[in-house]
Amino acid sequence: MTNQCPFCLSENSLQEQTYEFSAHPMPGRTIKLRLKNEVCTYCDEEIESPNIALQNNAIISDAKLKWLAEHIEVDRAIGYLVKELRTNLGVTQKKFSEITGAKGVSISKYELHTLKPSALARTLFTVLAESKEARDALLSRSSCKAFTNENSLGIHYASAREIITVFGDTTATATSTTTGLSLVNSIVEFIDKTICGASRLLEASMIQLELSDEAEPRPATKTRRSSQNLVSVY
Amino acid sequence: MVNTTSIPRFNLKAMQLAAGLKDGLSITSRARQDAENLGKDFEEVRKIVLGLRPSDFDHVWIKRDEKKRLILNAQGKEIAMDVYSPRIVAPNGEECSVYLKLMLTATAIAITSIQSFHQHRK
Repeated sequence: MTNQCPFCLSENSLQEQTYEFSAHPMPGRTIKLRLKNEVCTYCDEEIESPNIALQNNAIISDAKLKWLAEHIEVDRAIGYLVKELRTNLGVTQKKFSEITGAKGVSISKYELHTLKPSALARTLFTVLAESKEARDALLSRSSCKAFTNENSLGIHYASAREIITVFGDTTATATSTTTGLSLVNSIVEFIDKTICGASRLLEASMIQLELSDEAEPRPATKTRRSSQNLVSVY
Repeated sequence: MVNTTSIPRFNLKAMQLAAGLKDGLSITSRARQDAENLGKDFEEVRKIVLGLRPSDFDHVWIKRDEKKRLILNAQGKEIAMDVYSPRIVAPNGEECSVYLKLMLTATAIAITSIQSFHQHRK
């Protein structure tokens, strides 16, 4: 009873074929795909049975991700890429935030185009969009929420760097910093990695100094706070 | 062909139960394309079906040929589908009601089939 048309209930009337489908990775952009379906020789209905529909979903989503990753410089493409990536993984915004280590409602803001991801986040999303293995690796790892407090930015550095290193071409993605805001974010990242790293060292040394002289003020603390305030960019 | 009866042919709850299953929803190629043009993918269409309310029901559609004669299925019964008009948010951010034609088929498993998904034609 598997080869039965769901409309006319004719048996052995379904024949597999392909048809052209126009997918829209973002409004105004079209990519042509060949998808599978079944046509009923009795009533001429073209239908995707549940199994074929699920296969076609994966084909459409992969094609959209590939297109968005290749056209990441297009205005708002990154927002659509984040949304498609999340849909492809089949997770909620909250879960996606957890597995990528993004903070607060940044994923929602990326999807609504109210916020542009940093260079590191853009690179991570691009690598994930281009590589199914990277997406599987991301899904397989447990929540990295516990590590997000280690840095003051929206994306968990260790996870992101690992995925980018293993699955991505970092030299190619490094040139993706084109927008003004992502440039700012890159600077923030640079500050976080250099000045904040230095401030942490300074803090450590200050603690040692405090042991010897507790009355001394701590200028390094102010530097640390100012870098944390920059997190609001995300 | 529009049947003006206000009674749906299929149980909405049963259709939603079937649509909620991973392998319980099928879609025609044209409906998928129409949904894509409205910025909705298959999973979003599934959510729309799951969110249907009895008040969204519009009419019963019955398949007929060009001379308005009934087209019967293999069991000699008319092919009828329920048309619902839920409201969705279009890609431009505005709300619009869509034409959603679906039926419940019981072959191997209960499947909710979507045959049309597009904006109301003028």
